[in-house]
This record gives sequence, structure tokens and C-alpha cells, in this order.
Amino acid sequence: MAKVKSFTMNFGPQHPAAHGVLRLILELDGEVVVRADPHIGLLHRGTEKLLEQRTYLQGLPYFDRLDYVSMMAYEHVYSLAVEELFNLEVSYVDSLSRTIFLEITRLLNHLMAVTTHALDVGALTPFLWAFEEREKMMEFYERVSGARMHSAYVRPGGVSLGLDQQLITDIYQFVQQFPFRLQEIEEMLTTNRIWRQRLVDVGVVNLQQAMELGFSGPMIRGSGLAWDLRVVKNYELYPLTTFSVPIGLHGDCYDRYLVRVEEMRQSCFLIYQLCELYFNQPENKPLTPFISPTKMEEVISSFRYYSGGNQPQQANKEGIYVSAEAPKGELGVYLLGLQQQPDRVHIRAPGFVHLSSLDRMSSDHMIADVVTIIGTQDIVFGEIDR
Amino acid sequence: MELKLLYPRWINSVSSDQICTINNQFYWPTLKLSLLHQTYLTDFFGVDKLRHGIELNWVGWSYEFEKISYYRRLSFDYHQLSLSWIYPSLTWFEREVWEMFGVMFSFHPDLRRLTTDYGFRSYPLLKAYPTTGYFQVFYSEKNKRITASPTNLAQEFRLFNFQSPWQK
Repeated sequence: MAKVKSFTMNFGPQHPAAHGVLRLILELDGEVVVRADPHIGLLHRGTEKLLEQRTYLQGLPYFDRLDYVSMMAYEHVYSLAVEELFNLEVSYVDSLSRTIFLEITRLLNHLMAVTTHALDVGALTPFLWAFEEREKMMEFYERVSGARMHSAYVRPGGVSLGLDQQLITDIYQFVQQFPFRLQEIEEMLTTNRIWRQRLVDVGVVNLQQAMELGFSGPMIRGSGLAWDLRVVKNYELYPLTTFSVPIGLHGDCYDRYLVRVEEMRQSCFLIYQLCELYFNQPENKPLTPFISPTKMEEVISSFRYYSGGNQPQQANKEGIYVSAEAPKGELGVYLLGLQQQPDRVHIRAPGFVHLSSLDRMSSDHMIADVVTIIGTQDIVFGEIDR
Repeated sequence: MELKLLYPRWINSVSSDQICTINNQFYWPTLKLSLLHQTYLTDFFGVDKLRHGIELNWVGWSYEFEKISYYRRLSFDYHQLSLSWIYPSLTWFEREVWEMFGVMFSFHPDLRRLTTDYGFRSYPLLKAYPTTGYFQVFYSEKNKRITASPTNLAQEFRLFNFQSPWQK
């Protein structure tokens, strides 16, 4: 019998299932993957270096561009870090609008994750449905910040503009109809035979491996650990709400899919509760209106603040590490700030850690399963390459 | 932190923010030890401290006790032992520290550059490295391939730092 030599193949960076610009070098033994070597960095912009030369406020919009699928979650973690550096307190109403938009962001991200995963595996239709819903949510983004995606809405110390009654009413209405749309997507996928054949028992990661590999978010929850930083760290208004943390039992791609879908339901429930909190506020006055400067002195101080930036009162020589539950997992921001500009910013992107385990997850799988595994990792290259 | 009480020689100090500064001689056993305490390292990065050397930071989560811990060491040594055999999550982080700061990790399974271009040489996150860079890479229509040439900026690089030099 002739001996078949393993051969090497390029997967991407133009392959549509590579979710952007992943160049994957696959070493194949027939159709079985022996080794997968991701070559990343085709979207590397040196964000961490650039942030060292911006003021704290100027650095914020860079975080929108990191993970361009869950924008506000990234702004939020950076804002948390700057707030800790400057000892800023966030008012209740600002925290409320932050939390609502964090959950909307989670919906945005998971819709994208689940349905592009389905698209890669071969189901086009849920993708079209999900993007209609995404469009509605990006309209909320637009109404609150003027931008559909790169909103720069969550700012250090609060938000750029308060929510108004009409917007909350519309979000409330949206949340009431959204679970039905989710139901439609699930009807298409969850019990679908093709979908199950492609996902069940593919990319199995047991709990011990998941912890060693540094997984977080739906990836570690899919492996059976109820680990959610919203619960562990209790930031923003999450302590005032009730929600459950879904976990998977087998640690395969199918479980992670189910976890993501259930998380969307929980997010809906959370937004529902937060809208109730908004309506039940003691006095329903318009919240934190943006006051544009009118006097000359106000213009000067506003200009100085926005262009010159601020210096932390007490320089924290140790640096600050803040992490929160972004839709993709634990997002950490390390900020060392002694002057007007941060001296070092480090971004711990969840996708970076997940992608680094692609080799372990996909070895001994068929080549078609690599697509499934990339999909289940919910990869966005803005955050991985930074 | 109880680690300080248990292993006084290994840990130099513990700050109010629960940051463990590890003794340079014993950093490897200390970080290995944290696994015994059910702490999994999830993040690792360097900070260029100029004349104080390179600061290496590890962040670990104890999933059981829901506790985050920070380990830190400052060193001039650009040659370190890799921890990615114990914590596979650090594999890429060590690659990143290598390419960004030029810190070498011995016994690393796969120490190559990670995010920069093929054939890139400098260590970009060192403070000495300029933000504008030295080379620009573009697709040359004439040669039909990607070419690199020295940086040629239409507008000079500007840095607005309004801070008074006396405040620094």
C-alpha cells in the first residue's frame, strides 16, 4: 500500500469561514487535521502602542474598533479602568443606561456569532433573520450616540448622553418581540439533523482543559463551569437584577451554541428588568442632558479637557487591571497611567486566548470540523490582532 | 495574601491591591505553585519600565474561590523560563511578549513572532520604538507584489502633549 504523506494547506485569509483575516496553515493527513497553525496579525494596528500617545478620553474610540461586533462592551471595560484610575463614581441613571446597552451589545454579538456559525456550516437563512434584528438594535445605538457601530457612547465617568423615555419604550417593545425571533432561529437549527451532525461531539473541551487553556465566557460555560464575571464581580446594575447562567454538559460545539442562545434569552430578560427599573425610578426627569458650553470660560475649560486631557490625581504606580464579562468572554484591560497619557495599556482579548487553543481543539478532526470550531470560538480579528 | 505567609522567601511583597511581587530567583516555583492553589493564569503581559527593566505581570483566576490574583516581577533579564508547559493559556501571551519586548522564553514550544509582519525585526512596545515606525508596507502595482519602503509621511507625525515639563 502506498504511504500517504501529510500535506500542508492554507486556509484563509480569504476564506469566508475564516471570519475575517485568519491565515490558518493546516497540516493534513488525508482529510484529518494533524496540526493547525493560526497566523494572525493581518489586522494588527498596534492599538496598545497608539493608546500610549493619546489622552484617556481620546483612547476610548479605539476600543470600539477592537471588537467591532460588541463595541460597547469594550468601551465599558476601558471606562471602568479609567474610572478606577481617576476615582470616578458613576451615577445610577448612567449605570442603568450602560447596563441596558451592555445587554443589547450581548444580543448583537451572540446573534452574529450563532448565525455566522450557521452560515459557515451551511444554513444561510438564520443569518438573514438575525441581521434584521441586529439592524433594529443598531438603530438603538444610532439613536443614543449617532453612530450605528462605533458609538463611543460609554465614557469614563458615565455615558455621553442619557436615555430618553421614547427610546426605553422602543427597547421595551423590541425585547418583547425578540424571543419569538429567537424561537424562529432555534426552530431552524436546534433540532436540525444536519446542524446536529456537524456540531455534536465536535471540538470537545473538558472542564480541566478549559481552565488550563484560560477559556472564559460561553467557551468555559459550554464546558460546564458556571463562570460569569457579571455574577462574580457584580459591576454596574447586575446585582439589582436576576438572571441565570446557562452551562453546557459535554463541552462540544453544540453545547456552546445552546449556551449562546440561552444567554440571549437571559439578556432579553435582563433588558426587560432594567427597563422596569427605569420606569420605576423615583422621579422620571430627563437624564444627564449634554450641556454644551455657552460662556467663554466654559468653552476654554471644555476645550482644555477634551484636547489636553486630565492627569490622575494620585498616580497609581502599580497599574490597574480591570476585567468584565464581554460577550465573548473575560475582557481585561491593564492601565498604567501616571501622566496625561497612559504609560502602558494591555488588552486581554478573550478571542486571543480562545484562538490560541485552536490547534488543540481541531487536531484529529476532519477538515470540515475546523470551520465549525472556528465558528464556535466566535472569533473577531479586531480584538485578536489589536 | 496567604502565599506570603506560606512562602516568605519567594514573595517579596504584597501590595494593598493584592499584587504579589515575586522574588526574581523563585519566580518559576512560585507561579507553578499557584496551580496547586487552584489558580489558573489567564493573562500575561510586559511593561517597559525603561531604566528599571521589564516588568512581567501574570494574572490568575481561582475559579473555585472566585478570586483574582496578580503576580509581578521586575527584571533586567531578557531570558526567561517559559511557563506555557504548565499553563497552556500562556503560549501565545509569551509569544506576544517575545515579539513586543524581545524577552526570550526558553523551553517555549513555539516561540515565533505572532502579530507583526513576516520578517519584522523590531520590538514595537519598547518605549524606544517610535509610533510612526520605520517601514511602510504596500502593494506595488508596478512590481505586482507587496513591497516595503522607508516611511514616507505626507504630514509629519504630531504629538500633542500639553503637559508642562515641570509636572513630569
